[in-house]
Amino acid sequence: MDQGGQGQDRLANRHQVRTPLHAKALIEELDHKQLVVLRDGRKIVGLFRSCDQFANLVFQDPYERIIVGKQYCDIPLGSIYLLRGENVVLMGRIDDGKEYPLTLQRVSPAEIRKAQEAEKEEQRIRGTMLKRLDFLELE
Amino acid sequence: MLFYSFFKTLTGKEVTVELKNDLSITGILHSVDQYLNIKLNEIKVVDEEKHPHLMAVQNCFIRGSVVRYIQLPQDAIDTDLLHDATRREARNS
Repeated sequence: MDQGGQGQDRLANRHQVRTPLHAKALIEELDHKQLVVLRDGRKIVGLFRSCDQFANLVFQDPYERIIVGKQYCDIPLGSIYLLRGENVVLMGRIDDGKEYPLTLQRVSPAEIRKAQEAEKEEQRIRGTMLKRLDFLELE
Repeated sequence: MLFYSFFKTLTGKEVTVELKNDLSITGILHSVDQYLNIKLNEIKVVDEEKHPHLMAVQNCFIRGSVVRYIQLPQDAIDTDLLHDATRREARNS
């Protein structure tokens, strides 16, 4: 009985010691504005509010930053966002003064969507052309 | 935990981390944890023109699972010591 209690104590102690170790790197970043790059290439900017050892992240007032060529646009994503850790590539703190890259020009959501479509179309055409060239070479 | 300890000895050194999405970032190694998540300071993206969004970022947290390579400074590493540590680790497990 007594031993069981001790074992539990030890477990609790170990947990207390271990928890800060995992997440310390992330905890330092809490309550700062962060930019997160996801595995699919999307960029999310928001106020970093919570995290765990899997790098699941919670953001307040997040927006997606879409960049196409020299244009960019910020599209709000709601008020609270939880990102599952497996999708996270990196997270960087954004300095308030330097948030917006000077080389980029801000445009409206409609314009950025149009630019995005154009870029996708261009990539598709390039892809099919490459495929055709491959085909010709094989012949 | 060998490489966790190994990377801990490299904190403060400049390393280049290449990610699985072909992004390469150079920076001062600030910290590392048991998952080999990495924190870098004073980062510089190798191909900055292609990644303009990262110009606003000075330090970053990189999830260990997305790292492909880490380029290390040669003079900061004692390969003999690493070799010994590997054998010791193998014996103990």
